[in-house]
Amino acid sequence: MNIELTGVTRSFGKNKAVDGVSLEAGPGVLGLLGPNGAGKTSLLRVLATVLPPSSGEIRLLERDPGRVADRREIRRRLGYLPQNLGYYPAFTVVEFIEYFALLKEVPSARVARAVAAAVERVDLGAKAKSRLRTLSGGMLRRVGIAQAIVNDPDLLLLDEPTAGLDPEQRVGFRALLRSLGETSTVVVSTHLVEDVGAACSEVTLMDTGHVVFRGTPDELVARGEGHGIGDAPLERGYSAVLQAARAAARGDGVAA
Amino acid sequence: MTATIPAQAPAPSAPTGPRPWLQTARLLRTEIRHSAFVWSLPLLVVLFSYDPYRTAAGYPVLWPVRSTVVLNKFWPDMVIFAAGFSAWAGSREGRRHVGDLLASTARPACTRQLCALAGTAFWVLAAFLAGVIVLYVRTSQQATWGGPPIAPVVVGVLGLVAVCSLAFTLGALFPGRFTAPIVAVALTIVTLWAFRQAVGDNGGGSGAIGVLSPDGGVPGNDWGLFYPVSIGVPIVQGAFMAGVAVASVGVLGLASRTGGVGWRGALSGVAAGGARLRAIAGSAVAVGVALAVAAFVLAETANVADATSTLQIPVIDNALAGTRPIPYTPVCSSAGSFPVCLHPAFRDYLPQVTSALSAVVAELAGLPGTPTRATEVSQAALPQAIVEGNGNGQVTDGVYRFTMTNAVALVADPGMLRDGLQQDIVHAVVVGSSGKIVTSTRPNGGKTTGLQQNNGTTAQQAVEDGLLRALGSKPYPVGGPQNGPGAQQFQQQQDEVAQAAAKFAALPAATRHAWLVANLTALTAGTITVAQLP
Repeated sequence: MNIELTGVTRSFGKNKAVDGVSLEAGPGVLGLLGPNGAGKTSLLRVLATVLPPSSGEIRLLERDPGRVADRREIRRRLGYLPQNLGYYPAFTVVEFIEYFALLKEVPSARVARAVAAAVERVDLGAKAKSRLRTLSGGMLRRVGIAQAIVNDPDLLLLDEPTAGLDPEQRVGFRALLRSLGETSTVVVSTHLVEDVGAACSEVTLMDTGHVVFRGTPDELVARGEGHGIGDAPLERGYSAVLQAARAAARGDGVAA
Repeated sequence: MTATIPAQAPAPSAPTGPRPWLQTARLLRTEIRHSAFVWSLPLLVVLFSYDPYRTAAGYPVLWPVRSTVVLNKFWPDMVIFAAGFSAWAGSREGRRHVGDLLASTARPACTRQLCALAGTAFWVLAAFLAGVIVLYVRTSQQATWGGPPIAPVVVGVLGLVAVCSLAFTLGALFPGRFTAPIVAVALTIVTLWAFRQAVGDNGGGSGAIGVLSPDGGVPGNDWGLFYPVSIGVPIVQGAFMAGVAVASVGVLGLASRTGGVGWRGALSGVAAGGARLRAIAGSAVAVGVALAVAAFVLAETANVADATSTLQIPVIDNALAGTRPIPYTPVCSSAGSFPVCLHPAFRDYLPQVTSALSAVVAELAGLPGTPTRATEVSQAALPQAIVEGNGNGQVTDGVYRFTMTNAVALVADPGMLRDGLQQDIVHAVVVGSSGKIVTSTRPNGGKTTGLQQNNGTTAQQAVEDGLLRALGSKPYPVGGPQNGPGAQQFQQQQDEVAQAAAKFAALPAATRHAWLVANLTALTAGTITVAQLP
């Protein structure tokens, strides 16, 4: 298993952003859905080893991120695209990706090849030498994806990766996700259920820090049958699950 | 709730043998390429040519004096740029909101940040060393003795590294767009304050802060010629700067964060970082602070050594025999019957000095008290009355012993050299000593010492100024009351002296000389009045 979470909680003051989440995942594309404030980004930051969990056990890539040596090894094999991508405007596309390749300790001999491959995979070859300050929002997002995959990660964490991408790019990106998911564990946090339907083999739905649904996209669609809210089958499933979870939480305090 | 995705493939592959030094070198190259400091280089070039370079060009061509420009002018000029751009680089991760992205990478944050710091420091030091090379090459083309002092360069480099490290760390801990200007201004103010401590209100260095300040007052011209410049002072300055740099880097290491930015991130990093990192960073802070404190304590022991009139750190300078005189072979003029010897560093001034002294000696030839030769000595070898007074030296045993410290102005003025030397000789023959140091008691009971200048009688002043006027020199500077009841009387006296001096100067040289031969004894005894002068 590349991800093994047991009862993981992450609190910010009195607010539990992630509340007792247990999750296991091997290679494949795992979609992380949920409304605003559900805890998706906090969970991704915990998985990215950016935030230590407040409680619970966590193992990534069969290592303990609480240990310094293990954490470093995990990070070598980790790709992460945060929701808000910060960047250095004066860097070129290639320099920025190379910078992260070096920080991820990609062996020196492989850096140039890895950077070129990442640039090609996000279709930024024509802009490779452009400074980041000159790029559009969608292109910057692709630069962010490129830096995340430059080390050929075994665990790829993407927070809203398709925000700002045009429809054509989004289609291409979904294909990339499917390709990456063949050998790696890819966790994609998104609001866009169509991304989940098109690219994800599994779906996890979160609400108020809890996991309230776990299954395949088809299973989520099935949960929405007969439910009126939503334009698409997945959206109906999404709404139905959330509604049921909230009702259950109000009723007996247990999310199913 | 537990969810599982079935494993499709085994988790692979630790990277194979990354070579950290090569990766670090590539990171460093990227940081050097993107350092914002480069943008300040044109402005620095302009500043350099208008401040340190022009100032150095105005100084006498003496290695020890010209090299002070490195720390007194160039170093302070660079501090504001070094501090500002280092803080800017340090605050970059916080300003650009890349904290999360970077926190998920394998390379330790302190390595990454050290590369960013080194990227800025590289340009700062390159600019500094380039400026020093220009100054030193120019001086080497003109200087007649000695070689380029290394101590100011080492202290300057360590000082700039300390400034860069401190500013970078402050930028990393408190990221924001205003951090850089605030840090730049703050460190510049600290530098100026330390400079004031170094020069003191009376031009003399004071206190440990003053000793530790790289920039200070302009030294005398014979500084470092007869006695070595203290090695103790640059050692404690360098140790202090190195301590600040090491401690700052240590704090940076402690602040390598696992999440968040600013001081909260730093605290989080301390709590969550590895024990090894904490140990190394903590040790660096401890070593840096210890070094800085040790330097501070040593600086407090600094005093002005009697033998050399230079600031010394006794523990270090005594151990290194820093007060032993520097051997040299004087350069002497062989023309004429009045030999003049100078320190070889002043070789270029020998013709001017010989010309000035030969003229005055010719005017006074045969008169009692007229020297038969002249030789330059260290300022420290002269009485305090000479050092604090108007003169450059004294005539003893027929030899005029003088210092070039006062004779050669820091701002080029050829007339000043001639005037000073001729005033000395004429005053010695016509009036006598230049004065004496007296100790007086203040109304509050405290003691004060000062020079009681020997102006001579008005007749002596008139003859003295007449001779100087005939030689083309300015009158001997005479002290007197500038206001109050005695001021008017003093002014009247000086008017009489000026009239009599003009009259005496207008006499043919032979007449003047004959009068002096006949009347010098009475004149020096004070029995001749202005009215009795020819």
